[in-house]
Amino acid sequence: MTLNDEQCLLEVRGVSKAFSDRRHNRKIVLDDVSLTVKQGEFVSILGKSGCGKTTLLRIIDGLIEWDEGEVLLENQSVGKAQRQRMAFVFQDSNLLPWRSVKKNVELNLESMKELSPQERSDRAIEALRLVGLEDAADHAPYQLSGGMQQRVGVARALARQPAVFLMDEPFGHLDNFTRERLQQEIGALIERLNATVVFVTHDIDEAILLSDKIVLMEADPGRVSKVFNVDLPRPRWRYNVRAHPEAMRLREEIVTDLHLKIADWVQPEEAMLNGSES
Amino acid sequence: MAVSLEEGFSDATELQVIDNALQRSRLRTGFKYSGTLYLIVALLVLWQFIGSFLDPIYISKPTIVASNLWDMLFGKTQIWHDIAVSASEMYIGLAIALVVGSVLGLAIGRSRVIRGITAPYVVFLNATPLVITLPLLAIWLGVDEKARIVFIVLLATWPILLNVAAGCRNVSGRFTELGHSAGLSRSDVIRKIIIPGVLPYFLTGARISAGLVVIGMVVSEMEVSLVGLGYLLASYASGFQTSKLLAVFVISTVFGLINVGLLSLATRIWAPWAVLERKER
Repeated sequence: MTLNDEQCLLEVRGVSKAFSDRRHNRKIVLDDVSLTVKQGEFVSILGKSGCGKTTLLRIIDGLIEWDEGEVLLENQSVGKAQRQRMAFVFQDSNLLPWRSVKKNVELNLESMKELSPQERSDRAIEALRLVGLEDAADHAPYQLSGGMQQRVGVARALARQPAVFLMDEPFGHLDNFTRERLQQEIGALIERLNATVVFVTHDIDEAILLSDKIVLMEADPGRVSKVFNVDLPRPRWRYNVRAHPEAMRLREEIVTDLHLKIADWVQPEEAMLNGSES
Repeated sequence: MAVSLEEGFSDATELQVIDNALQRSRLRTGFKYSGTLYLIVALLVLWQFIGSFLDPIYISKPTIVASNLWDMLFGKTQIWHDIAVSASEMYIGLAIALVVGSVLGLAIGRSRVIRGITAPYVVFLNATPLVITLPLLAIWLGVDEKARIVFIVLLATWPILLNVAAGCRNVSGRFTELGHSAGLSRSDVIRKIIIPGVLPYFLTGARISAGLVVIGMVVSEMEVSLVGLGYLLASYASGFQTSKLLAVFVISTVFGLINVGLLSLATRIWAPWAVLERKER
């Protein structure tokens, strides 16, 4: 099945999920969440911690069960075959310390029985080349800096040549300089590959810099509160994006929306004040 | 995916810096070991010096201890039979403890149900001074090697069990999601992720146990034995034969050093990442 650019590649339809804690209190984490991702689209799921955005990503990758709703890839309910066409990038690079960098990348290919060891190795090297780390192929993970480890994590996903990348705050644990650099570099790479990405973050600027679409989530219970389209020209650079009037307007809108929700919860009077301003 | 990369992604210099730092840390290790050697020599000299002013019943002297040691190993009063008995008890005990500890540790680490059921017993038994079981074991199993081996197993199982269980939980928490996301089957997750991940924890536990089996051997032989190094220690002590006592002490210590050294070596060979990761931090 071929898809043109405007067709929906990944769809989440009315997904709900509740966890029960030790005292058997049910806590609703996701409540009727829906979103669509088009071929080649970069969609950020933006929200505060505890809004269930990582849970949603895990559900899409089939890592945890959900209670209601559907997850569809290319109009088919997600099963084993569909999961093989998705690749997860973890918040913590999660490299196996006993494997070399290259063997770590190959881990993501070992369930694909159709690949020969030689093909696995070739794909791993190619993926490492894309993130500029082919020289580190035989190094051990602990020998690399945090930023380099995270790039190996991205290479591990790239090697799978997936239809969709699922990224869970991949730059969240990095220091500020490395984060900015990787946002730029990985962003450019994704743009060139025209990859489809679902990207979880709590960083508004990161979301604006990278995304075509931002799905804003609210907490308790986790719901989609608003969807923003990011109409900024590409390629994007951190500094011209920051100064772009559209980006500033978008940022203002998102911040207002987030703060209104906080104020709503803390102090009703202040929330009304803010609400009347905007 | 044949796309060339224009942006500066390459970190050749950074890799070089890391490689150099690794080499430097190796050099430093070499120096540390020679320092340890000097200290041993200095302590021996000090012992010899102080020993020449005191009755040999108290601390004897390194030279006398050495001549007694020579006598026990190659002279008239050879104790190879005792050494062999002690060694066999120790290593049979350690082997059983390694198997029992890792099987129970994996079960406790993997299954929340088993963990819930066994947790109070683990805490209780781990906090119990296990030496009190020795008279009981002698009553149940008689004054022979069975009681001593069971005691050694009791003592040496805990570090392995606790380390394997902790390692198993840690590795499962960190990496099983990665395995599932990579599409690995359950058995592949265990084979490719859990087992190699737990290995350094197992080796750490085994290293502690390898020291404990020497203690277990000596203590159990002092109490329930008429043979072995522990028995010799007890009988020399009651006869105030301090030099011979210390010679046996040296043999026991050498066992401990060999055990711990072999397991450190095994860790370096089988789980080098664990050693190096520790050094880097």
